[in-house]
Amino acid sequence: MNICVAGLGIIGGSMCMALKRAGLPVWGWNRTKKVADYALHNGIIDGIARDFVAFDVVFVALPPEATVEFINNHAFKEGAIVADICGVKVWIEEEIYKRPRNFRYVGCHPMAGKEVSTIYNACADLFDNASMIITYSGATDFAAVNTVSGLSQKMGFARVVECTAAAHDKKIAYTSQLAHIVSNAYVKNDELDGCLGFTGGSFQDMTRIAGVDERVWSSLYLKNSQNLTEDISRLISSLEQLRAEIAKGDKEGLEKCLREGRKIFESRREERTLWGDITVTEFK
Amino acid sequence: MLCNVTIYGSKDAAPVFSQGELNFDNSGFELKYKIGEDRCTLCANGSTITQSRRGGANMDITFSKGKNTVCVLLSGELTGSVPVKTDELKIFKSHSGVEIYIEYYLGGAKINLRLAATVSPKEIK
Repeated sequence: MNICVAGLGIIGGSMCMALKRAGLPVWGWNRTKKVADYALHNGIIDGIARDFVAFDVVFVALPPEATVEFINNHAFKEGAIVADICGVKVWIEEEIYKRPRNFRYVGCHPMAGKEVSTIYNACADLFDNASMIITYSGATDFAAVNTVSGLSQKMGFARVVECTAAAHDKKIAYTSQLAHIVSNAYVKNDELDGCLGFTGGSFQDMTRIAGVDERVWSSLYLKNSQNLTEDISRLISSLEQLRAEIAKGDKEGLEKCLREGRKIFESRREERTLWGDITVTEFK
Repeated sequence: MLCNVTIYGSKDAAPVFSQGELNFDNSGFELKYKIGEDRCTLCANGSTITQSRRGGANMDITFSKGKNTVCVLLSGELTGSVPVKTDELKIFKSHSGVEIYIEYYLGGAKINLRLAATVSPKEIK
């Protein structure tokens, strides 16, 4: 199986390393030649691709707009699997299916990353024990999904979660995008300076992802704006309620408010499916 | 200058014989020869050698001792660049021609290449 990863950032680079760790040869491609050369001469890839017509599987590890541009402007082998890894899925799926194609598209979203970017921070174990989300629609070829699922297992993923693009975007607005928004908003405070000695795990958890690349994340937020704005509104409402209770000095009201949150958290069932059909396949 | 070219590849393979044209310049030399129907050009410039092949197989490869270079595959199943690491590169020049010895890794495979271009006696003045 000839595999190529287009886009050698932290995710694409880590995919190459993970595939090679599993003993699979992998070629790469990157917009900046210097990065591809780095990958080649550091054993991250086996070759730099000039074109993509010989590959059975092409993982496109680029930002959303660049992913669509890449897929629309390159030729692929008849029946090849072309899988993107973008953090939004409805927009990508619509863009891909607008055009006739000779390849089998599979939407993916590896639930792993770091607060830093570039191939220089890539690592072979980035996906170990993480989830790979694979999205499907009526146009999805399930043999292609199985192939991507198998490759995900080889990359170290602990599980594959299959769902529709819409289910993905709704869930990810909350589990990922809202968390990044909160972290960004949280650090906009004068008290951030001079924190040495005043911080613990809670501060670190809250701020760890505040420094992510705004070009990448703004694109993701805007392509999932309805889900995300709904989640932000819910958060604002909850924050306002908490602020009001604190401002009033109403201990009983504040406790009630906090108790509500604690009980919701304690009663959560991570495996519960509330929206759409979600299939989880555990590898380990 | 017309010359006879002998290429020794792996231990198990028989050497390849060909005829070519060898020209020296200030910085090195250029050797043109054929392998089957494919046209090959080998240029030595200082301590770097570039080799290109056109025809059935199409590739450009650069060797420089101790350095990471690439082999650009222009045809075949996969096209693109694969890594080349040259462990040893020796160039011997004499009035009767040139001989090069290259020990390199192409992808993960180690290759020893020896090529001798011997100028036809009638060309030696």
